[in-house]
Amino acid sequence: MARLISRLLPLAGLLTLLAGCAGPGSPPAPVEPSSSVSGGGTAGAQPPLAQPEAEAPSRPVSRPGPGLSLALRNDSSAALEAGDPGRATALLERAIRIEPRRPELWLDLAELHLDQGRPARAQQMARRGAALARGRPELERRAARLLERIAGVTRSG
Amino acid sequence: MRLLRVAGVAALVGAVALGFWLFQLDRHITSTFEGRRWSIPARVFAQPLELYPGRALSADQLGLELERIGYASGRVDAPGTWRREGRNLQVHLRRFVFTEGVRPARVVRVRFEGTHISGLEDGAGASLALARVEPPVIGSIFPGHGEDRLIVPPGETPELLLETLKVVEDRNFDQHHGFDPAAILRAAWVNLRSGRVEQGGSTLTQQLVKSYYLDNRRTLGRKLRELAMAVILELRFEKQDLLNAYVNEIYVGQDGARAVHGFGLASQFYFGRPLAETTPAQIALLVAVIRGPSYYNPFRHPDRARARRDRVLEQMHEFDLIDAATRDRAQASDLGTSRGDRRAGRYYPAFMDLVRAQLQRDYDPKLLASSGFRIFTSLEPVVQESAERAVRRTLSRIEAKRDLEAGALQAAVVVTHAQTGEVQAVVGSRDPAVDGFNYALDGQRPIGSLIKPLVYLSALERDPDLHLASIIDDAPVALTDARGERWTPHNFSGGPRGPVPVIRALAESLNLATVQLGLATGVEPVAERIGELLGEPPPPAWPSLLLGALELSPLDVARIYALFSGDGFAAPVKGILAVEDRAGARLDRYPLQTRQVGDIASVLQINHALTTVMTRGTGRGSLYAGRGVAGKTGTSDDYRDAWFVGFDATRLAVVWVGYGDGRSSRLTGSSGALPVWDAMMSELPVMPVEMPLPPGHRLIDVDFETGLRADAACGDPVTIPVPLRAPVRSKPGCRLDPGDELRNLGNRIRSWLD
Repeated sequence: MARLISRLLPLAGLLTLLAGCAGPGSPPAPVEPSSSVSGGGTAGAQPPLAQPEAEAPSRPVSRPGPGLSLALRNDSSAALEAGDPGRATALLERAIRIEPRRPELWLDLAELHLDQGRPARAQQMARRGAALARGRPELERRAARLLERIAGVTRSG
Repeated sequence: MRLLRVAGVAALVGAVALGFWLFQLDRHITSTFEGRRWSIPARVFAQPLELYPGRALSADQLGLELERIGYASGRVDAPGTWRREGRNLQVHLRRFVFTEGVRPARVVRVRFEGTHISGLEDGAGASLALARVEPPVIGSIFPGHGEDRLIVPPGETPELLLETLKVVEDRNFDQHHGFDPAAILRAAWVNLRSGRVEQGGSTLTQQLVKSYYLDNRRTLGRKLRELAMAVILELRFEKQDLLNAYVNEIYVGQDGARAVHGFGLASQFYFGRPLAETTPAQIALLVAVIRGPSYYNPFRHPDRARARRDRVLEQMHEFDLIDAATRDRAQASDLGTSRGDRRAGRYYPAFMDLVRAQLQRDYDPKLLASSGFRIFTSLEPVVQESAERAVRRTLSRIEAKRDLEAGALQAAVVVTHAQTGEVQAVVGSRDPAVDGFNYALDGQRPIGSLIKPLVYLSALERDPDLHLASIIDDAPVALTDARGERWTPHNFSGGPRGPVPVIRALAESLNLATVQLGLATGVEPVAERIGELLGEPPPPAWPSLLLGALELSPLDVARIYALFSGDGFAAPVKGILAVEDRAGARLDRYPLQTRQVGDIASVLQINHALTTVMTRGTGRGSLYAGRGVAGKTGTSDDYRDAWFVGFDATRLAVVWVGYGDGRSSRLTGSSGALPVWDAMMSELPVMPVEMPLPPGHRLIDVDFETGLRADAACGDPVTIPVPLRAPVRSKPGCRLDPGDELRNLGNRIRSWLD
């Protein structure tokens, strides 16, 4: 009996562990409380091995609001509808130049290229958009659907 | 009788000879006139300044930028003007044909809150999401004869200028047939009386003919030729055409080695402003200068220039072109000259080399230089100038500090947009004004340790069990090649470190560990990836490639590191965005492209390591060590080449420092190149690299030295991503939070059950 219990204990411990963990499929919490998306800094308080002599100046950083990409995306759609895909593309590229990490811009560009008969380029753009969309389910789904469409076109093309 | 006959024959022969002579002249001048009408250099534009709410830009900075492209401050009733209103700026933007279409002239109000734009409105008060100032011209591509002109189309020359021209230079222009006997006599009389040449007697047409020939000999024969050609032109072409040709042809000054022709460019050259925006005083100065561009050079002889300008203003009033009040105001005003547009940096020869190289592939050079093409580039003048300043100041500082020969060190910088590959700046040598050897594009130097991230990338991709905390051996290695020669690499400083974690091997740039790892993975993948990124056949896969025995230009290095700044997606590096013809029709677009060139999870781990280079490794002396930037130092054999590549979220920069003749500089990447990057970045906004967790990974703290799990109490921890399933032992003597161990165990069990 004791041997059975001693066998079961670790299993019980295991089950407790599993119950204590987050549900299946969700990622474990990172060690650091912050989500650590801003650089490979050290976890502890240990300073870098050599102190720089001066503080790096902090120049103001641009923070465009959502209105900017919205306006350019709308203008791009309008250009496309007016029969000027070159202008539509240039407008999206202008938006990406200012806000290169917005997934929807790359996905818009991918759709534009696909509709203009350039599946290879569309795929490049869609992949980039998909990588940037990680962690945002709706955009991830849009990217996945787009990549499927492109694959379909490439297969049949 | 015979005399008459002889005279008759002589007259006939003379007439035939004259006819023949005239026929020759006619052909010559007509073809010259028509040919020159169409020879227009290509214009090269930088990136326009984008205005939007949230943009980091102060009112002062915007004002400076506007002045730089010739906007006048004051009332905003005409294009090319601006006005400060407390904290805000009102700007009357000029019409401009962008590559996306025409932007008509419009008024915008820009609201500021200190360092940022807080709002943007149009003239009616409706809010705008975005507006842009037209791009500055950064260069031209000329036909070889070294002239430059900004064509003023017929009908666009200010009336006042045309009238003033006639009044001052050729009062009977509208009536005569090429030459003006009355003017010649009058000039002779005035010159005789004053004892020197004060007036020419030449008509505008004669001056036009004269301007077609460089020869300044004033022989009688030449004068007769010019007179005849002037008459021919008048017979063949309309007065309007001739006047317009004059406006665009007349020699008005010298810009270094370049001759400035035409009032369009003269206006830019002297006033930094388009011809359409000149004031009466400025128009008077332009006409005044024609008589002797050197003698009346307003930069060198302002008093003479002003005196003559004032005389012209008198004449303008005398002939009712301007009223007395305008004349008085104009005479009281300064010359209005501005050298702003002619700074050494205005023409950027090093960047223009890149533009020319890319265009030469697709365009006939003669056509390119004479058809008035408009070339839109990705250059960012602010970044370019920061890079130039950084090079100049840092090299001087280094030479002084290390007692090196002053002025001998060279440097190159290439800056690209981190995600699009667009080139924002090229510094080709220490002196940016000099159009000499371009070290950024053409200087091929051994890249040394810059290659290491590629080695580690291939290793991570090919070995699924390898991660940043994996232990590899920084141990001696010796190879014998086919010829029996031995290669025994060493670490840069210090001996072999023994077992080290991957993160440390890359951050500290340990040669032995890199070679060990590279040999285990294979050199071919590294060589192939280089070939792929450069669009060339791969370099030979010798083991020495693992330590960067490969000569590349800084531009090539930028092409390679685009893979890292793009999170695994490399955008091709390019300087030109679009080419249009004179009318604005699109000839060519160089659209945005990108390509996945590596396994994303692996690249993200390398990027993590590259930030650790800056916090812990060879880049830790940087001002930006703790600011979330990524980088890699490189030093070639014998300290001949000092390299640094750095990127933040916005841009990637490659810096090379060394001597032109290849001698040793005794500088390392950290001591020679990194300070240049620091100096440049300190003038620009810096945003930490975004580092999403690689898929299938978790973050843990490991001891930097040993790679074992540790915290600050028992070691020197760095936070790194490792695969979810990877077991990482704890450092002996560490009492770590068991929660993490259990979570890790849970993950591993779950993965077994999957």
